[in-house]
Amino acid sequence: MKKALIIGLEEYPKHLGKLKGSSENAKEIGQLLTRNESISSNKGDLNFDCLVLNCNTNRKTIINRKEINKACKELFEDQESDALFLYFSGYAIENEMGQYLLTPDTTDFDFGIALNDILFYANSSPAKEINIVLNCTYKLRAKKDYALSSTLLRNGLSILTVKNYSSEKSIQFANTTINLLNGSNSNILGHVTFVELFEHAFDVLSDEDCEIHFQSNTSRISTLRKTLPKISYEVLKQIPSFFMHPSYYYPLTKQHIPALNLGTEDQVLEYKTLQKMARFGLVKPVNANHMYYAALNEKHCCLTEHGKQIWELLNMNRL
Amino acid sequence: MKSRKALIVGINHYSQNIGPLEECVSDATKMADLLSTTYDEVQDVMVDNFECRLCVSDIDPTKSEITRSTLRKKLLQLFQDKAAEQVLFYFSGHGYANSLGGYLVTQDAESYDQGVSFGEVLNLANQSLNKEVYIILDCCKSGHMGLLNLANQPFSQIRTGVHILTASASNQVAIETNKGAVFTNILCNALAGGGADLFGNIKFIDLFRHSQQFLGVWEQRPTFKANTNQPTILRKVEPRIHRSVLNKIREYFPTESSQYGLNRAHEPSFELGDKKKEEAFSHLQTLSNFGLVKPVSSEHMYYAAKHEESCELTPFGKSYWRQSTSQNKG
Repeated sequence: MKKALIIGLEEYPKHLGKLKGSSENAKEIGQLLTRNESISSNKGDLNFDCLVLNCNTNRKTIINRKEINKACKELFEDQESDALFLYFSGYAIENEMGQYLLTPDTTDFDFGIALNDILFYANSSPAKEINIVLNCTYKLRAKKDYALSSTLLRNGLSILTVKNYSSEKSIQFANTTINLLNGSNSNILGHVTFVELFEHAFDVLSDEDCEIHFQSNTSRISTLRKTLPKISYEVLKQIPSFFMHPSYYYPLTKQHIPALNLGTEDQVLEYKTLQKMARFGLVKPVNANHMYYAALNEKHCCLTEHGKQIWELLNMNRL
Repeated sequence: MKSRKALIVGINHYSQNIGPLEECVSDATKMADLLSTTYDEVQDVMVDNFECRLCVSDIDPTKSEITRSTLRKKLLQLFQDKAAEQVLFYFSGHGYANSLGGYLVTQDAESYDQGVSFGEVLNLANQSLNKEVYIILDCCKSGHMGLLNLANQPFSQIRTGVHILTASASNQVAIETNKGAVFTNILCNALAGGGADLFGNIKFIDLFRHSQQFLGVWEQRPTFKANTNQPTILRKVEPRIHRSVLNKIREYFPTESSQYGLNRAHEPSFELGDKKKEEAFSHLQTLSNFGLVKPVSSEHMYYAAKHEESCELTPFGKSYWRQSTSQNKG
C-alpha cells in the first residue's frame, strides 16, 4: 500500500501574507500521484492513496497545527503501508530552537510543526520506503545556518528540502514537480523517481534564492509515478532481434531507405524501427552522421551505451 | 581549476586464512582508468579528470603491501588534502563485520584486528575539508558503512557533501565472478557511458541508479547514503543527442524564451524541397523527442509545422540552454 499526505498551505496571518498557488498546486500534485498515467486519459492504475490538506473553498476553518500533526501521525504510524510520501508547501522558519514548518495558526513562539517531530515520526515509522519533500518559503534569511547539516536517517528514508527565499520560487518548484509527474523528464520507460525530482529541480531552479538539499539513506530508488514510456515497449523489445549481441553491427543497405523504393516492405519497416531507436539515442550509425547516409553508403548501425544497457536489461528480463 | 583526487584500493593477496581474491586488483585498475578521464565538450576529446592514486596488492608483499597502517596513512592523505575540492575513495577487497561495525580487511588482518574500521573512514569523511566526498565500497557487509548503531537501530549520519555507495546491504556478501566483482562491473559499465544522461553526464547517484536496475531483489542490494546540495558530475562521456544537434540549440533559440517559427517548408512530407529548413526541423524534432523542445500550442511538431506555428524550449530545455551558455563562457 502506498500512502501520501500532500499539504499545501496558502492562507497565513497578515505579516506573512498569502502564499499564492500553494493550495492549488498541492491539489494537482495529489491528483497526479493518485493514478499512474494511462493511454485512456483518466483511468490509470491506482498509485498513492492521497490525503490533500489545502485551503479549498469547502473548508470552514483554517488548517491548524493539530490537524497537520494528526495527519502526519496517521501517515507515519500506519502499520500496513510500504511506501509513504509527504509533500509540504508553505512558509518555514529557522532559529535557535530549530526548524519549523509554519501553519496558518502560527503565532510567536508557537510557530507550527517542528521539523524534528516530522523526522522523529519518519525515523520510527514501520514503512519500508519514505520520501519527504519540503517546499519551504522563508520570509527572512537566517542569520546563520541553524540547520543540522547531518540529520539522522534510518534506512529507506529520503528527504528533499527546498529553501525558497521568494514565493515565486516555491511556485516554480511546485510546477517543476507537476511537470515531472506528468512525465516531462522521465526515463525511457516513463518512471518518475524521487531522485529525478532532486536532480531536475536542482538543474532548473537552484540559485541564490533557492537552495536544494537532498538527504538519503536507501537501498532502492522510489518510483513516484509511472507515465507512458517515451518509446513503446513494442519497439524496445525488438532490439535483441536486430542486435544478436550488444556489440553487434547491423548492416544497412540502400534497400532500407523508403524514399529510394528499392527494398521490400519489411526492409522499410526495419529501417523505420531502427530510426526510431536512433531518435531516442539507442542506436547510432557507424562512421556516418545520419542513419540515412549509413544506409545510402551501405554501412552499419550499432547500439549506443544506452542501447546496450537496454539490451542487457531485456536479456535479463528486467524491463 | 577544481582539483579532484581519488584513492583506489584493490586487494587480491590475502593469507590463506582469510582467503585470496582474484578480481579486486583488476577491478580497481578498471575504476582508476575510467575515473581518470572525462569528456570535454568544447574540444570533443577525453581530458583529465580525477587524479587517481592506484593502490593494489602484489604477489610480492615487499613490493606493495596494504596494511592497516598504510591504508590509514593513504586515507589521511586523501581526506586531509586541502587542495582537493572533490575526493573519491574506492575499495575492493574483503569486508568484515562484527558487533562493533564493519572493517575494510587489510593484508595484515588477524582476528580481533581485522583492518581499518568503517567508523574511522566515516569520521575522516565527515571531518574532511573537501567539499565533496565520494566513497565506494565493493566488499562484503559494506552496507555498514555510514551507519551508526544507536539503541540497536542503524542510522546514517553524514555531513553535507558526503556520498556513500556500497555493494551490498550490511548483512550481505558481495559476489565476485570471473569477470570481476558483479558490483564493480556494473559501476564500470555506468561510468563508461551506460549510466549517462542525455548530455553524457554521469553523476554519483547514476551509479546507484544503474546498479539498482541491474541487480534484482534476490541478489546483493547496493545501498546509497548521501547528504548533498549539489549533484556533481563524476565523469562525462559523449552526449546521447548528437553534438551537431545540441550545438544548434542556441542558434535556433537565441534567448531561452525565444520561439522558433515553423512552416510547411520544414516538414519533408510536404515536399517543398527546402533542405535547410528540413534539416533544422529534423534537429528540432530530435530535441523534441528528448523533451527539450515542444510546440507552443499543437500536440506534435508535425502539426505545428503544418499549421505554421512555433516551437519553444521546455523548462528542461531552458535549463540545458543556460548550462550550455555558461559552459561555453567558462
